[in-house]
Amino acid sequence: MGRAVHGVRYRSLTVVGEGSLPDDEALQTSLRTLAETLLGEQGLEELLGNVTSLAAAAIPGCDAASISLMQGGRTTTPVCSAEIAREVDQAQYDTGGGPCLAAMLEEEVFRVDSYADDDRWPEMSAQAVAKGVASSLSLPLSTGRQAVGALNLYSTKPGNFDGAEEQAAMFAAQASVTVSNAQALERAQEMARHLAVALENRDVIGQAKGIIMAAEGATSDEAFAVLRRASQRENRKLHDVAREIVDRRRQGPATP
Amino acid sequence: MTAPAGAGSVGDVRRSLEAARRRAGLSDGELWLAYFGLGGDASPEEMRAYLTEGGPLASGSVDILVQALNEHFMDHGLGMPVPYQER
Repeated sequence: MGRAVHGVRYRSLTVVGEGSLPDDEALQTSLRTLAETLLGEQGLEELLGNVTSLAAAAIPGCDAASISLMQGGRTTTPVCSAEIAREVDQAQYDTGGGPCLAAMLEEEVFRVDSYADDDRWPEMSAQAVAKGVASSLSLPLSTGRQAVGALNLYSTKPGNFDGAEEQAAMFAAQASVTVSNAQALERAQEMARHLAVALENRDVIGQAKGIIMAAEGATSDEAFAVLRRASQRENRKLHDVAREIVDRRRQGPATP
Repeated sequence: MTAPAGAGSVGDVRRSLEAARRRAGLSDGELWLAYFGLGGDASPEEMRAYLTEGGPLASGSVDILVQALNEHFMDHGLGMPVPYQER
């Protein structure tokens, strides 16, 4: 019978190469490869795809692995090692219940030992059984504060994941770090874009102020006041007003 | 140069700016970026110190902050409700 596995916390297990790793050499190599792959060399989906394929290969009896991500109120499966995982994930999104959704929402590990006997999500379980999936393990992906997704492992054999939590947690931790890094990168890129726009606006405003200061013998603050009054009067952004002044000056007849 | 004490209302101006920032839902960083884009020279720390405890800020900077906030409200179809210090 399946049950939620409580108390499995893997946020501290993100360091690869610690003594907490299982002896399995292949698993260690897999995790090291993942840890050494930098975001930017590969896209987020490609990296997460590696996590699912390596998890499926390293965890005994795991026939398919997938990652669910919550983005903008929607949950999707961007990557999977085999399509069956995507189908069973989709059955959960469609029916509104299942271990993968529960793992995300409750930030707990959920193990199902036998979909044929599990009564927590009857609709979804029936679909899993119909697709030949017998057991699963779903682990939350967390980026520090909140759960952002889940790593889902499926097997055609019942009871396959009893005792596999710790091993699976290594991959979930890696996926969490990857998602977290991707989000940080996205934030940094957005910040860089905003800064570039701010610098450009600032430059145009500086030029317009210079033109006003030269023409009217005004101080910098007075020149700004001229611009912001025009902005108020015309209900336009100050940098648009400034741009017009600069453009007009550029197009105007050259003063001898 | 620090903000002039216009009719003893320096604290009022500052508090109304901070209230407008909250109403606009702008973080300190977002407000600073808008201020910087309008030509403001104060650092994010100086801006924060001014808004929270009335730290020194170049007089022209106050109206730049007002403009930054007003442009945010303008984007949301709310006009330019924050009053300028210099008429």
